[in-house]
Amino acid sequence: MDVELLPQSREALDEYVTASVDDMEGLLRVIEGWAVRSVPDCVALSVTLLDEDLTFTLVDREATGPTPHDEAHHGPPPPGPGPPAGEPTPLDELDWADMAREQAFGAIASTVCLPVVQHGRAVLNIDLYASTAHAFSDRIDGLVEALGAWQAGAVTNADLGFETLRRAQHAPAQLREQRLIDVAVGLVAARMAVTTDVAAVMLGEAAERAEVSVSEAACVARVLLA
Amino acid sequence: MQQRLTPPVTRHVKVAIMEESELVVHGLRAMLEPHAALITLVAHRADGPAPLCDLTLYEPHRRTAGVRPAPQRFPTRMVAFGWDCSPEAVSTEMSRGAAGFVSKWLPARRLVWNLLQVADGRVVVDAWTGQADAEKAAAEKWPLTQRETEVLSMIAAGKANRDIAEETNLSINSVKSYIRGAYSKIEVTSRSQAVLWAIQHGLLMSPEPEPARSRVGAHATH
Repeated sequence: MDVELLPQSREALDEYVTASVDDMEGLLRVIEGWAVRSVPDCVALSVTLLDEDLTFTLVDREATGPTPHDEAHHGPPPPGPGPPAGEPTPLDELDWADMAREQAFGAIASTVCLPVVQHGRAVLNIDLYASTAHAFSDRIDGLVEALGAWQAGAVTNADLGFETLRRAQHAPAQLREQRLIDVAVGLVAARMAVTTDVAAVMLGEAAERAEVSVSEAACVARVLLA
Repeated sequence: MQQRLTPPVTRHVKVAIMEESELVVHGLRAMLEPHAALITLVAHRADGPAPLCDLTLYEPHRRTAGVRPAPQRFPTRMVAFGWDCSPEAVSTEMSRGAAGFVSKWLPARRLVWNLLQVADGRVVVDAWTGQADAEKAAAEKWPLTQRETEVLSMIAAGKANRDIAEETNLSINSVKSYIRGAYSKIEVTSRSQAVLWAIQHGLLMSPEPEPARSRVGAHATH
């Protein structure tokens, strides 16, 4: 099996920096190693950081078919009305994600979601996807032990639609938006002489009053304060 | 420690200053005024007659820039009197035969003391600058390396890690490593805090505004 990082997950990993994990990709590869050894039919896995609401996905391309990124590089999308090529819209992205998930559907026959708990709090969700219906039968205990997951929280076949793939595809956009907000929060904190926590609340309240999104308010703050 | 201003020579010393700005001439005259019993200043233009004096101060930078005639033209001891007190500037003037080198950053008492020493026939080099000490102290306090400073200023300007890697010719992993190192040294745990720190320490670069619309799918064009 050739499990690879989704291109969007690669992009997200490049942008993602945390003080707590030096090598996020290394962690993903360790999880992948455990999963593949424990479940030979595993064709994909996703890791979701619950605090950041950020998902990274690795897929077996041969088993799950091409991703939207592959299509963009190796062939045109299906013909139809829409903006010209090179001007993607959020709608395009959703369509493509749906298409990819439909393609992956065929390859996924069973799933398991394993939450990882730290100090009594769930910090990670590990979702495994297999190509056979009973790939996880009698293997949950072994996986839980290997991955340090919470056995009672394990849920099977809850994501046969491969929802985490869609979330992983959105990760780069999420991180871009977060970067914009973070910088704006820093600018507001400096200008108003408050902590970044207080500045984040101020930005959120300003967005609410103006009936715009926080990222839109962040754009305005950045233009006004930088 | 404050030096006692005991004159090394008993006679009065006359100091000429070559072709300086009014600001420097008047400033120096005011500085020497309280010590008029020991030392007085006479201004001198290069195209005027050479004054009778014991020492002549000159600005090394102006001389080397070709503005001034050679110091050897004056029949007195030449003393470099400059803002640039780098080892290169000092060694250049001393190797040209200057009788001494005194910094323009010196306080009055120390300057007078040095000039009296030179008038007494000693070779004096006093390249003290309060500024250099302040810069050294600031450098010692600055917690970041040059690379970390550069990367942090780009983070504060809202640049993506990939853009930073491209602009600095570093790998993504190196950029992330510098970011983690900088965060650790300045004791912040988030990008917002890092941006705040950067602003408070004068690192903010001009931002490149991003469109509010999500650039989803931009990876396909990379």
